Amino acid sequence: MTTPTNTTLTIASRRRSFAHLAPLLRRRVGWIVLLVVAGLANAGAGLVGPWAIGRLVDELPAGADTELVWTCAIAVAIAGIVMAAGTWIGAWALARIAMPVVAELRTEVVDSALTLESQRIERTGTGDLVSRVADDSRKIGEAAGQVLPLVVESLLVVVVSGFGLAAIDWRLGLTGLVAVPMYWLTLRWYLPRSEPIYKEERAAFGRRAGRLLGGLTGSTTLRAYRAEAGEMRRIDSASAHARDLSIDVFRFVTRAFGRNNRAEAVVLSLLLVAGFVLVWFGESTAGAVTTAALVFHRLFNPIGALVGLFDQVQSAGASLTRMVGVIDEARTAPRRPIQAAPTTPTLVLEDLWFSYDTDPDTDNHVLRGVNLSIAPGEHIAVVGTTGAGKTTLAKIAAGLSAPGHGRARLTDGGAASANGVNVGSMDESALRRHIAMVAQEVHTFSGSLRENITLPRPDASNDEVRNAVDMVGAGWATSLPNGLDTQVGEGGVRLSAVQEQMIALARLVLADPDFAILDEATAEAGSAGAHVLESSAEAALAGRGALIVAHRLSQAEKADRILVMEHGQVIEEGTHAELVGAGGRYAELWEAWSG
Amino acid sequence: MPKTPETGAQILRRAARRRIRPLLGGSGALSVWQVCEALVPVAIGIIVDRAIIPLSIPALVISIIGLGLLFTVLSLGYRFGARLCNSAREHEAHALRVEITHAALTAPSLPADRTSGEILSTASADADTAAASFQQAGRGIASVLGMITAAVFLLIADPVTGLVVLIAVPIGLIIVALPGRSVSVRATAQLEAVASAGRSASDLMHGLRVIKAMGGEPWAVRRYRTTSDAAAEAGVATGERTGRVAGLGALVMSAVLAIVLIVAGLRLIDGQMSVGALIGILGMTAFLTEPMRALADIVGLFAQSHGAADRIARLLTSLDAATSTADATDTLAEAAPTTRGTRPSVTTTESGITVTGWPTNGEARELTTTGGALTCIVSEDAEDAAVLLAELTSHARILGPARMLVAPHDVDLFEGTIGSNITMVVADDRTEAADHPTGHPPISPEVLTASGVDELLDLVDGGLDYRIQELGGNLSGGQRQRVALARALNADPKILVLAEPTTAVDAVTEAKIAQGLCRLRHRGGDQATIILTSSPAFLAAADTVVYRPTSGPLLIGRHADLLETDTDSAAAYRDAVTR
Repeated sequence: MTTPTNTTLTIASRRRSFAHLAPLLRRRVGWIVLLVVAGLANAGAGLVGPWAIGRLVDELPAGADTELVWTCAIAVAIAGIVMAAGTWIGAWALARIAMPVVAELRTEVVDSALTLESQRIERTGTGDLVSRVADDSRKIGEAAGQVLPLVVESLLVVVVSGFGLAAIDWRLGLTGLVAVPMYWLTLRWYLPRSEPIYKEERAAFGRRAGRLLGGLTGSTTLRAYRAEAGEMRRIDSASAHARDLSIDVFRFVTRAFGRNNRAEAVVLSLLLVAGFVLVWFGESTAGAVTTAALVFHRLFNPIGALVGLFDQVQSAGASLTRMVGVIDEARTAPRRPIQAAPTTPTLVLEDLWFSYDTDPDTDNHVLRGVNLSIAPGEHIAVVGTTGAGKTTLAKIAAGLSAPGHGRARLTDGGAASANGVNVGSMDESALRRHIAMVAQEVHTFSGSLRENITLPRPDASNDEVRNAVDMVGAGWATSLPNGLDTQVGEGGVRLSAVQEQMIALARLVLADPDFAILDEATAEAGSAGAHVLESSAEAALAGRGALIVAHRLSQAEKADRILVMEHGQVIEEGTHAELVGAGGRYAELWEAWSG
Repeated sequence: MPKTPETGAQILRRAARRRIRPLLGGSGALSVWQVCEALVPVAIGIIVDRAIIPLSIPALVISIIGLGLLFTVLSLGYRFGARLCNSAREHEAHALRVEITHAALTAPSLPADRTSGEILSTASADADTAAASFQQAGRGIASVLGMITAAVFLLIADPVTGLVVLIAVPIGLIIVALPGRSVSVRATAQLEAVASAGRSASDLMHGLRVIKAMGGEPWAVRRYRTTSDAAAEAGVATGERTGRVAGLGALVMSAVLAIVLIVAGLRLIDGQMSVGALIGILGMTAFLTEPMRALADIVGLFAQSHGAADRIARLLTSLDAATSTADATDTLAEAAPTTRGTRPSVTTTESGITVTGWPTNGEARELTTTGGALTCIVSEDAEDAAVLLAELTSHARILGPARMLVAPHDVDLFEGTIGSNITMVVADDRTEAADHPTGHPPISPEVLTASGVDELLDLVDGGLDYRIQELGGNLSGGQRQRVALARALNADPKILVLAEPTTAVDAVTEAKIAQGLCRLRHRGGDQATIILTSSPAFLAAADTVVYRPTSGPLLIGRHADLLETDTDSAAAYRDAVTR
């Protein structure tokens, strides 16, 4: 089913994003002070070398003795100690600030993504969320580890050296300021051009990776159809395109470096000429000019780093705004009231209408007035073609989707009672005690089997987990090399489709809700696997009400009641025997099914 | 065909040979750049010495012109050197990528010990890393030349001080490099921890619907906090270590500078050295660390490139071996088409296809499907079905898809549209850029109906022109199977073999597909169809059903008859197919 996304997640403003960081940083103000002090000491000590050389230039030819040489050497050595301590403490303080802040930020994003309402997620799809929560936090984490230290250090060195230049002679400092507009112009030239070409390059990489992946994973099919040549041509052309773009991007970057070199040459020349003039008028000494020139020479690398890293800083900033967007979205969502549902509730679905179109007058309804009531312990199966609305009905019943019209309620049993609780407006954690769903999407999380099973109840005891495993007939789990502690999911033991489904059912047993909504795909399990899963599901559903989207008619056969759906409406309803006897649509299906 | 390189060294040598010109040109230009960088502090010294101290305007003018020239050469040297090396790198990476994918796609099957993910990572990351050796070569040569220039200058400017610098700087670098290793180990660990937090986040988001449907939010946050905090802790440790090593570096280099300063200062006092030489030597001392450090990094990076080249060589060799073994087996099979050992034998004639020797571990019977007939095979043991399918597949590979096609069960969708995926003909890149790519041959409505794709087309925008995302991620399992089925039917082979083609399709659609498929394949009267399936919808439509129980003889007959039969095998059959 393709779900059109009619809304997207918000992106926070820059100001809002930094405001979000402020309280996190404020808690670490001591470390920040330490960072600044250490950084300033480090950058200041870096000026001692050029200063010492300048003094030697001035005073040695004038007849100074060896004492000056020793003094300067000791000064350089002491500066070295200060720099060593400053660098060390600075890097440490920065890591103590940046790493926990980033960790808090990314945990907060994951937390926020998880508290987003299911209905919201259904509307936006999970793609954007995955990219924000996984990719953006990874980018921020990498930037904090690799880019930030370099940027902070370079920035401090540049600023301190600027003051250093001015301290040598304010006129030399003024000359040095010429560098500012020159580098600024480089950035002005570079940034607007770099973004689109980097974007294009990334897209080309994506296309190349996609085609490589498609071709390699699809090699069996390509061979069967003798279509390798065409796919290879496509891969070649995507790779060649990416190559050409990369070469262009690099050419562009070297041009930017060229502009940096130009700025270096101009400012260095100006410093020397200005120095010459100052010395000419007796306003300064050759040594001071030497110091100024060497101080500026020392700035080549930090300035280059700042200019070169600027776009990475920008992209980290963009990631930040996207992450804070998710956090804001979760925070601003209205809190749902915690309402108590009846102790043994009945799940009542009244006149449900649903459409993926946002247009209120649409005729394109997936559900058209479905009514259903599930008594405690009652099992109801829904049968119908793809697109009949079965999955949508299941999601609404589970509170994962909101109907366009009508409501799903937990009531105390009386059919007409108005005192029920609307599942769509219940607090989700409270709702899950009553209704849980095993959906078509199967996902085995990377971790141990036990962790996978205890998802609904992390505090479940060992006995409870074993009991759940036994109940769904997943005896294989305990005979794995490490039993329940076997690593599964990405990088772990690969589970079969049947085993993954059994884990989902074991979760359901642990969650122990009043109602279970089952929309599981037994398709890939094959015929034998499906038999096994059906008995697992039966065990997991014992004692609770259930709405079962039946992908196989044998699932329907065992249910207390069967709904046959077509085009969003219930066209037949009754027990298996009744429907087969009635000779309608279901009987027809059953005939085709059972041969 | 040129010989496949067998080792990483051969790959790198071949790379150097075929891109010798940009490599030499690039490293030459980079060397010019590095030498010029080394000369900047020297130039400052000369300018102060010759122009500023004597206050000579002509010398100043010459100095500024000289400085401009120096920077121009420096800038151009870097620009063109780096570009040449980079372009050699990109071209080589592309060439390696193409070579790997061609080898992988033309091999009869991927070697058993290689997953497609592994080949993908070799074709993307390893190709890049191996080709990065060009940049390392360029930078390495340039660094060496830069250091030689610096050394020559130092020795000419003042032999004594020069010698002190040339001894002290490398010693200092070694002192710094020693703890550097532990930092790089830690940095790798930190990157791994950050990556692991990223993977964990991605894992949770991909399972988001599962978490929400079960109320597993607290569980998920708790899990993520653990990995995220571990990453932060690793980050703090790395940051502190990196800072410590960087601090040590600053300390050591300051000590070196202090020593050189003493020696140079004393020599200046003795009148054995000019002021310009002093500035130049001290400036150069600071500069020298750069190419030296670069060289140390390059050694490590080159080891990585070499490792990547080794992996490429191993992959190419194993693909090569797979191709030649398969060729040999095919010739053998052609020469002696009798049942050999554990493989069933397949023969095709104008009128149909015959399988003998299957099952391999039971009472085999000859199975013939003639033109116009539909045979369904139900196998209790998946292993038996796999053996049969493998044999049919390798037979089909010789005949080609027009005569015989075995459509794989696993659906592979390719970038393009539903239409291009059915016809397996794609427009080239130029037309593909358009929103509605033209250019897949027409598909008959019968194929669309028989595969159930017609209903799918009603659900998606653009019908046959609906764009398929990477690996078909925007279609459900059942929809993907229907597209694959349409692909097989559209190929219209004389003999078609399908393996469980509708496992993800709902019962109603499956029944419709079975009827449509039967009609379509019976149409010409000369096309044979074999379906490995246990779906009653297909079995009911089949002319012949072959049932392979776990033990006992094959059961052959019509579906309805087999259901009626009153034997143990027939009971097992009923159990297997009524689902």
